[in-house]
Amino acid sequence: MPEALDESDFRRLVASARWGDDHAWRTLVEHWTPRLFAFLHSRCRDPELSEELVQDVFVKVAQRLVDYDERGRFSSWIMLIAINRLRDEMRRRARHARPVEHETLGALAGSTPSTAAEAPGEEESRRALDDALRGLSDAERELLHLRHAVGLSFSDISELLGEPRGTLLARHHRVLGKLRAFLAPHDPHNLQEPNANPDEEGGGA
Amino acid sequence: MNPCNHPETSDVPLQAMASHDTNPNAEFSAGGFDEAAFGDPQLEAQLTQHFADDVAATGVDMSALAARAASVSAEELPSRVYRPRVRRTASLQAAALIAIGLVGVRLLGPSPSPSPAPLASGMLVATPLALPEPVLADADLMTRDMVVRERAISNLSGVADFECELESLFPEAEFRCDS
Repeated sequence: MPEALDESDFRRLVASARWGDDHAWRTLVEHWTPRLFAFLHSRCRDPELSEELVQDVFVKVAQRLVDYDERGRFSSWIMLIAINRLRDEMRRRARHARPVEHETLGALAGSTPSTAAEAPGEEESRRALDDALRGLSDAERELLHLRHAVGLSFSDISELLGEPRGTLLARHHRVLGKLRAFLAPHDPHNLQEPNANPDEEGGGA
Repeated sequence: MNPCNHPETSDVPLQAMASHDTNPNAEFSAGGFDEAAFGDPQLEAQLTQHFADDVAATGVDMSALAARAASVSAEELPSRVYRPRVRRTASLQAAALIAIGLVGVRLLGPSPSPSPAPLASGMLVATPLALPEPVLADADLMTRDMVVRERAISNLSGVADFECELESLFPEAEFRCDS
């Protein structure tokens, strides 16, 4: 992924892009393209649709840039546009009963095609993680995708989903616990509990 | 947002709820949770790698996708969309105001000093209008006002060369073309 940018960089780039700075706009697009693609693909499991949606999201962002309120986080704003665009497309496809419907609306976690040079142990581990992800609720998977596929901070996710950061942290912790429990029989190394457990530390802070 | 995203109350550990919503401690009320305490670095790294492999397995070239997305969406940036629109609108507004002003002057203004000699029938008047001083002053004020308004719009939209258009339309007026 391109170099890491933070919210202050986003504000500066958005201000420049708004007044016609093509370089600033390209920098924003290059930064967000892999992140948006990762999120959209993790949700719809369709690379072509994900590519199409990534372009749509940037068109929408460009159109709305003049209305963008710089008091909010750009990360949350662009991801909200992506989520809404994905939902619109899913609804549209559901209405038209496209073949992708079952795949996208059903098991959103999906399975990842294995790469050719993958060792047998890695392949098994990957499959186990896929199965574990499939066993989560949609909201739980969404949280993992936003956190680990896009790389959003919990503050970004909190603003995006409109939920307290503490609630998200607790849910994330619980989801990791579920994954660990599922993965434990597949890999003895995953049996190890993390040292810190917020339920045992009086507030987790 | 999505009702599915809102957890059941029983899903949320009591400490997390208390910390965020009711704990008077300043750090907690500002959202000062220690994220590491809620995490599992090994499993989180595994997840990040899993999702990265997932994207890599699609074979989509991110650089090419970014280039396409930047190219398509750049056309929708405010500076590109509003510039021609403002220029068109402002030009029409200026032309309409000047036309209305001139018609008003012809209809209401006092007759200028001696009329020119009668023209041969069938010929259109091509000589400049001889307007009285007060009318010229009003017209001047009107065009200056338009320039000020246009300059304000230009500052907002990036239209910098509208004054040059005005200058070419009305060379006798005192427009200042910056470009």
